[in-house]
Amino acid sequence: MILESLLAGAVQSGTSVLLTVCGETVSERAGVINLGTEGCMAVGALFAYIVCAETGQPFLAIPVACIAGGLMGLLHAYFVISRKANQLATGLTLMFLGLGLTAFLGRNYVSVSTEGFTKLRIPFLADIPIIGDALFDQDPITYLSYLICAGMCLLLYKTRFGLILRATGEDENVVYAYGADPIRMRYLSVIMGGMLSALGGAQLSIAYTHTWIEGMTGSRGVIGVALVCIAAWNPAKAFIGAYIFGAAQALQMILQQQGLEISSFLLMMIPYVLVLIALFAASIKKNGKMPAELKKVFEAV
Amino acid sequence: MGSDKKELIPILETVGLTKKFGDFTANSDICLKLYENSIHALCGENGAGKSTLMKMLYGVYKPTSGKILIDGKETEITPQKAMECGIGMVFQDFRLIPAFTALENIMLALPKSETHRKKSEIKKKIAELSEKYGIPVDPDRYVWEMDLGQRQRVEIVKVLMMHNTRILIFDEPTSVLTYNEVKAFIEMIQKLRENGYSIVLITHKLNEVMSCADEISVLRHGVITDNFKREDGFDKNTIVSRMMGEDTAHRVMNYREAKKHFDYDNAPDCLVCRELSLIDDHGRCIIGGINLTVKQGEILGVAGISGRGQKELVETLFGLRISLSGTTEYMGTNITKAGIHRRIDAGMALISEDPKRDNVVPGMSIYEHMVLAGAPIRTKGLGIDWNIIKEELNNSKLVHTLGVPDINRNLATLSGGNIQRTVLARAIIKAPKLLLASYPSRGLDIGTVDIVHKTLIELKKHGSAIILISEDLDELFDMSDRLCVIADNKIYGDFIPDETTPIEIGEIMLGGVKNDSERNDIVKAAG
Amino acid sequence: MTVNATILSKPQVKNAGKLLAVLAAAALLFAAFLLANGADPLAIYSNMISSTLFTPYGIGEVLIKSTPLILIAVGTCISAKAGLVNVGGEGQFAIGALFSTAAGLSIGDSLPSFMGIVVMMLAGVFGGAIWSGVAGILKIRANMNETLTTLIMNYIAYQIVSYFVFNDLKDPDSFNWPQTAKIAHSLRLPRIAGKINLGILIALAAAVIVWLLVRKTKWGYSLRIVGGNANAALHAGINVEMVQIVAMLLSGALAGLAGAIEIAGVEERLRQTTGVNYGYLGFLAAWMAWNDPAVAVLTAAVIGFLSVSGNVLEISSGLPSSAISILMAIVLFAILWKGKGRKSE
Repeated sequence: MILESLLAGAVQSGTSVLLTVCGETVSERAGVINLGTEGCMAVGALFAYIVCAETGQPFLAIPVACIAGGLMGLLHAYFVISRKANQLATGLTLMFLGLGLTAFLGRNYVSVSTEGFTKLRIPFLADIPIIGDALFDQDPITYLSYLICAGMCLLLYKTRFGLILRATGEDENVVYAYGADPIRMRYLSVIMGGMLSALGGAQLSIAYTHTWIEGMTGSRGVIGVALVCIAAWNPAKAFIGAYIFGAAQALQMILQQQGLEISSFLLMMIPYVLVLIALFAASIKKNGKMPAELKKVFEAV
Repeated sequence: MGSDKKELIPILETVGLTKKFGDFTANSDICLKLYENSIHALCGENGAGKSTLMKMLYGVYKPTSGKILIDGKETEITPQKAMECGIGMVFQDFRLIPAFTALENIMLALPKSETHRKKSEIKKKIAELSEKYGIPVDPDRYVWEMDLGQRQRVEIVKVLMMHNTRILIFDEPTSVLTYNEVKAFIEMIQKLRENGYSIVLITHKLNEVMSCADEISVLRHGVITDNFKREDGFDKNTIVSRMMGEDTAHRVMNYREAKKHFDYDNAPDCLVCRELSLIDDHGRCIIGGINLTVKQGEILGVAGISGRGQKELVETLFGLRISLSGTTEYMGTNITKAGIHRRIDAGMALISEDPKRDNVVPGMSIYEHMVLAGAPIRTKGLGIDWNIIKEELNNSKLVHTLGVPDINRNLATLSGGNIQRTVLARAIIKAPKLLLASYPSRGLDIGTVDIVHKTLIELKKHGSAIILISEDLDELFDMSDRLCVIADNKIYGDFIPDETTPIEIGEIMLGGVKNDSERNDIVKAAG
Repeated sequence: MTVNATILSKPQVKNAGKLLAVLAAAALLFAAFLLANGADPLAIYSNMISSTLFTPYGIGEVLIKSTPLILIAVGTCISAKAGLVNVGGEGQFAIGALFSTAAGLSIGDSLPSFMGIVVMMLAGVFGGAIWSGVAGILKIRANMNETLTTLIMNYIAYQIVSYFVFNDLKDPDSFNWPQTAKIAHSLRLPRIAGKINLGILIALAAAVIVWLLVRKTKWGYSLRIVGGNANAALHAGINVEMVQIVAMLLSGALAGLAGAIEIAGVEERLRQTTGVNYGYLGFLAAWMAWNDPAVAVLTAAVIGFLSVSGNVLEISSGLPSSAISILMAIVLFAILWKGKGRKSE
């Protein structure tokens, strides 16, 4: 029983991170790191919530959140690509903007309640022992996240678009030499990254917690950036880190419900420590898959 | 011309092509004609402006003035346009992504019209081309796993995959190949010519082109000085003298004199390696079982195709890399586990194969570079006294002889040749006891190469040992007291330059030593 | 006329002109935002400037706010010079503050004032250095990206501080407020004028020392080479790992010192929210200064000014405090838009 609720909690809590990791992977594969995913998530969470609260239409909330996140991505893309601004500094600023803007615009929605998405049980699949409930008794955005995760793998590894996108992250000069436009590729992938992060934020506010509160993304965006590295820039591996993070969150809640005498702050540390350990494991494995253009970002301080 | 037969329209022609970078004129008034089914070689020393010309032909640089005609029609060239017009370029620094497989690299280069093809179809076509022109390529191998020769073949296949390619431009193609691989390369371009391709070959190695070119143009100081046609006959001496200019055509160096003074048998050992094995960046053993002795006052030449372990050898000897097994002794002490710092203090110096990567710190001036494990750092109190350092450098004879630019200039912004001079001066200024010199004359003009060689000989006369790594067999034969060859994950040698020939060394470079009896004759463990 | 013309054509002057122009654009953009929210931008701006820069109280507030930002920014400069991106000022500050609070509370008034303060400062330095040192060791031993590790460790630090202010260090007399007890009166940093404490002088001295260290000494020379091209440093026999770990320790130590000063000079007790965002703002100040410690003092002061004037905004316009983050982001974006005005020497 505890195991099942732990797994269900892991998926529920991990979906927002999974979407963020998928989005950030696409962006980093094209050679752009976006530390501002936190801000994109917050924007997605807020706008989805506002649409839900005002119209009661959760399906309308998804495109609106994506557009808002896409605009945040566009802002990042403009600064780091067209203005050649430092990616890390721009990302941090974007995070400030996203958190500040959502706190400001969302101040009247803190006490508003809305239903949003409810769980949608998929017959037969949900009856699979142990994992059935966890994977197939979830909200629609979670199901969407499975499709997106698989779609990103196909996009990156099976299409010409993906080939050029990955090449953009390795050596933009080669891409340019063969007639593709690395700038366009980067814009597209950073915007896509922003959209997916925002979708993750939407899952958090309208499908998981059903509330809006300032700073509700609680570092999930930042964790997402770290998890990209752990997934070795491969969307197929994104779910591992995301669900482990989700499980740690879920575990902390379960332990609290069980009335364990452990401070909630120590429990809240678990996900971060786990991410550090995972990063450590990833680097011990000599995970030298970081796109070459991305390495330059860290070299040119 | 044009009397009885119809005058041919050149497939590619340049008229008055000029390229200026600021005040510097890299190319001036270049007029070239490339005809169908022909090989046109463009010869010139390093820095003559060959690469600039090529980049204009491929649209990487926009010409300052002049025009390019394709099939007699004036065309504004961009890389995209060049591809559409059927120009394929094999760059010196290949346009390959190391993290991708050969197939992925080739697919990336396919024009839009070909993108619908299936992977299996593309693989089949690669196999066909490989077969036809004798250029084997494994499509599923990652490029980072390949040596430079293999990478070149991928690059060539990539260009041939575009079905409209009819002009192939090769930029210094043989610099990564051995004497023997060069032969195969020349056969390949002749086959290409037979199959209707037109070829531009840029090189400074004349021997190679004389055997296959239909026309040779000489480029010097950015200007086409001469055109030679096969039907008029090629005369090597004339072409050489035109390439170098009259003033520097005759080298006056007496290398043999320097060698005669060296008493090999009585010289004390400087460096002794026993059963040393080297690992590359991917943790594989790249050269095993090295037994090597370098004496004080000796120049040991190391021949081999680039990328076969030269870098790993010098880096291991310098302490930048940990050896897999074996021991290294330097001036009588075991230094196998010593750090770089200790080795530098003990008088070792390294000239890296890629100074820009390994030595140049962006934003720093030449004088700040010169004291980096080179000239002594003078201090005043807790701080560094840069004034004294600058004064000492300005008074240094070596700095002047090697033609190091104004020491206040920002090194990263200077040309490859000037960086090379600075790096050389820095390594030699402290009179090292052991100099590990990787390609010391790369990127320098003939005159400076001469000075570099003199400086190295001078160093040798003072009792320093030098390990000279080069791809230029002439340089190795001139300078070395003994030679060894890297091939086949081993080091063969040593050889006395007077008792062997470049052909023999070239053969070993390509395939190691053929059979056991031969091996026993040639390979003897040194030291 | 001619003098004017020559001055105006100087690159530094042009650069400063451009900077003013983008800042003005940022101010306009924020004014539009204020208008859209029914506030009077002119009144707010004049209020923001007059109450910060033209009153002794305001100037004092700006200096107090700038102190931790200067220290963190200067620390970030050191690690950046070694080629490391330390975004962990936030966590290093928090752990420094925690250590010095713990030290201060356990000392009580058992030591003479001067000694007690020194112990508190050293505790802060030690705490900050531990926190950055972990990231540094993970970097050189396990090749873990320091940007990510320092970032994640910020959140861990926040949880640790929260734990202590809710549990072991909670003030029993605070009616369940999550905060520690106040440190003894004798441990407070002496004030130099009004509310301004000695901290600002410590911060400026630290900036000068770091500037000299980086620019003039042999170690600073090694540091710049390691940061410029680590490969070149290796080839020159410099112990790159040692230089990097020392740079990281110094960087964290300064952030920790900032935490100690915040406790001993301003807050006198540790809360969950003590110094929140200082780390990120310090990083941005260093980045805006192109990692030059001397310039970082100025950029940190500018950010300090913005934060203080943001408080004025909150009071005078009735807008929520989150509006300040928006103003800050707009200003930062304006500077990012302008980009690096001068070439690296």
